[in-house]
Amino acid sequence: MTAAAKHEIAGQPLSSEPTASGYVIKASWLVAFYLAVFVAFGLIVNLNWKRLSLVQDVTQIDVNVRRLIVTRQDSIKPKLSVQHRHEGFRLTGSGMRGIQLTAFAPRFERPCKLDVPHRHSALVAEDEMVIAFAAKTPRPGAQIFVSLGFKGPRRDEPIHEYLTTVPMGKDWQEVRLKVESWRPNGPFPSALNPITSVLFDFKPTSDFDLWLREPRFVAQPRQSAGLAPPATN
Amino acid sequence: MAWLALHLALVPYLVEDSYIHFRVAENLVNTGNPYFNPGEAVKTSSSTPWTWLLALLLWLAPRNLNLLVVFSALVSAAGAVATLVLLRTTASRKLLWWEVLIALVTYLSIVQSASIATMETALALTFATAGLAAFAHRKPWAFCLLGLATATRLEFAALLASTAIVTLATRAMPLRACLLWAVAGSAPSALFDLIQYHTLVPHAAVAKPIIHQLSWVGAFSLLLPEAILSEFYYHGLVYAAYATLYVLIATLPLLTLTWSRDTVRDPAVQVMAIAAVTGLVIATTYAVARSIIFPWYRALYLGLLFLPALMGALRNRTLGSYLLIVAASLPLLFDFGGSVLAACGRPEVARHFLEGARARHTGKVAAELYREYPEATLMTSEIGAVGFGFRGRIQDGAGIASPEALRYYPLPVPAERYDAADAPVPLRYLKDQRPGLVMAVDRHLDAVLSDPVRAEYVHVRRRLYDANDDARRASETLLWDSIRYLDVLIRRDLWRARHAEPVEEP
Repeated sequence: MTAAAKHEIAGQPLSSEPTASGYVIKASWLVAFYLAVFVAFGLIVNLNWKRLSLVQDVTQIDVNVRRLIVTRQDSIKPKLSVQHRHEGFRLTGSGMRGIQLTAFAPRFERPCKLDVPHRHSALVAEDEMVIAFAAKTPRPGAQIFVSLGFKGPRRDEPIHEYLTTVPMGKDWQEVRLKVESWRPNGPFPSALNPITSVLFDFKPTSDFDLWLREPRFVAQPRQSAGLAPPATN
Repeated sequence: MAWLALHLALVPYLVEDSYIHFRVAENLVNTGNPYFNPGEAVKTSSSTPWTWLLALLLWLAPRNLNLLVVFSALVSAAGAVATLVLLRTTASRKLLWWEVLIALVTYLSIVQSASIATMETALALTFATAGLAAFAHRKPWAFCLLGLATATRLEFAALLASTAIVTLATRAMPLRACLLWAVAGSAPSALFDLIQYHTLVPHAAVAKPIIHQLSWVGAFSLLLPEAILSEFYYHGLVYAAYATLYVLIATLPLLTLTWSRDTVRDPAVQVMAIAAVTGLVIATTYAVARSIIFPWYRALYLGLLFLPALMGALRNRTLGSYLLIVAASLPLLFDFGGSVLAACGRPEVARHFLEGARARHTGKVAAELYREYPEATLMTSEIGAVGFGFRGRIQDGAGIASPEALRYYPLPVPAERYDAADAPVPLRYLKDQRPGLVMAVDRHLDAVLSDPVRAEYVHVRRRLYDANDDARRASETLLWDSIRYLDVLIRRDLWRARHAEPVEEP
C-alpha cells in the first residue's frame, strides 16, 4: 500500500501529492550512495581488517599466541616500534607519554597443576603469588605500573597496582612483585581463573628502549629467598 | 515531573562548563557586566540569551542551582513540545500515542545530556524546532525564533541561512517581514555583545582551535554519541555504520520522495531539507574545524538530523522507517538510561559521573581557598567549578577566559601535556604571571611541578573526589585515566602571611 493510498483511507490530504511527471531516484542508486558513504566513513576511521580483529586499537605483537599486546598509546602521532625478538619484546620510540601492554592469560609457574585440587593444596594456600617478568632498558629507566585485570582488559573489578622502576642497564633485570591481595579462591585454593590479564603501563622517558620478557605468575613458598618486596602505590 | 526529578537528582553532578555559565551570569547580576572576571571584557559564555535567563534566575534566587536546573528541564520539555507540534503540522494529522512516544523519547535522549548539564544547547534547539514549526505554518515570525536560536548558539546561523535561502527561492513568505523578524530575534543579543565585548564570536571559538590541535579525523571521531565508542567492541565498524545511519535517516526520507514542482513547494519537504542540510553542515563544520566536540554540542546537529527521519516516518508510516529511528536512537537511549539509573541512586552509572564528581569537589576546594585568600589571583586549567567556588580573579591556563594565555600555545607534547587535545596550566604563563594560587588536576601540573618554579610555592595535594564518589568510581590503572589528585600551589609569601608553621609537602 502506498503512502498516498493510506492517507486517502485516513481521509487526510497529503501535503505533497506524487505527480506523473515527478522524478524518483532509483533504489539501486540509493543503495550505491549509502554504500559509498559507509566506505568513506570506514576509510576515515581507518576501518580495516586489523581493526576487525578481536583486539581493537592495538598493535598485536604476537599473532600466534596473542599473549602480549600493546593496547594503548598515549600520543597523537606515536613513534613506537615494537619488535618481537627471540629474547623478548623490544619497545623503542620517542615522544610518548605512555604505553600499555596487556598480557592475556599469563603463564602460571609451578611444578604441578594448580587449577584442580591436589595434594599440595594446603601448601599452595600458603604460597605467595608473584608477578614476575624480566626487563631491561639501555636508556634511563622507565617506570612500570603493573596491575591485574580480573575480567580482561575491560576490567571492572578492583585492580591491584604495583609500581616499579627498571634501572638502566644492558642486562636483564628480574622484577618480582608480590600480589598483596592474593587469596586462595574457593574450593580450589590455587584457582587463578579470575585473573585473566596483567597490564603493564609504561611511563617512558622521552626516548625509550625497553625490553620485556613474557610475564608470568609464580606461586612460591612464603619467606622464600629472592623475593623483593614490591614498591606498592 | 519525572523529567524534572531526573534533573534535580543529578544536580550534584553538573559538569565543568555548567559552572562557567553560572559564574558569568552571577557576575552580570552583581556587576552589571557578563564577564568571567569583572573588568575583563571577554565573551567567555557562548550564549548571551542563556546568560540573561540564568542571571534573571540567580537574581531571584542567588546560588540556587536547583532553580537553574528546573528551568533547564522546562526549556528542554518545551523543545519536546515544539517538536511534536512540528511533526503534527508536517504530518497534517494527529499523531498516534506510540508515535508521540517515539518522538518524545528520541528528542529527550538527544537533548538530555545538555539539559541535565544546564547548557544553552537545549534552549537553542527549542528555538530552532519552534522556528521550524512556525515556518511550516508559514508564519514570518518563524525567523524571530530562528534568530533567537542563532543568538543562543552561533552554529544555528546555518539554520537561519538555509531557511532564508529556501524562503527566498520559493517566495513562500513576504521577505521583508521575514527579514524584520530575523533582526528582531537576533539583534538584541548581537548589539549587547558588540557593546560588551566588541565581538559577536564567543572567545571559546577563537581559543579552542589554538589550544587543541586535533586532527580532523580525531574531531570526526567525536561526532557520534560516546556510547558508540565506549560500549561497542568492534567500534571501528560500528562507528562507520552509525555515521552512515545518521546520514541515512536524515536524507533517505528526502531522497525517496517523488520530486516535482509540488514537492519543492511542500512546507514539510522544505523543513525536512532544511533540517537535514543544516544538521550535516554543522557536523561537518565541527570536524573540519578540528574542535573538541563536547557532549552537549551533539544535540545541535543530531536534533536536526532526526527531524527528517521522524517526519518521513510519520508520512510513510512503514515499520522500516520507525525501526531505523529506533536503531539510530540506541546509543542515545543507552546514555539516557544511564542518566535515569543515576538519578535512581546509582550516580556512578551516569556517563559524566566522574567529571561531575570532580567538578563538585573541585568547587568545594576552590571555595575554601577563596575564604582563605580572597584577594589572591588563582590560575587554573579548568575554570568552571573552580570559578564558581573561587569568586576572586581567575587566570585561565586554557585561554577561554584569559586570552593572554593563548600566546603560550601550542604546548609541546609530551614535555608539557599528554596529548595535543590536553590544555594544562602552561608553564611559561605561570612563570610570567606568578599567580598567588595555582590549582589543577595532577596531570595538568606535571610540567610545573617538575620545574624549579615549584620551589616558590607550597604544594598541597588534595583528593580529587569526595569520599562517597571515590568509593563509587570504577577502578583504574595508575597511568590511564589517572587523574586522582587536585594539586594546589600557594605562593610562599601568601602562605607565610597566614600560616606560621611549614607544611608537609608531597
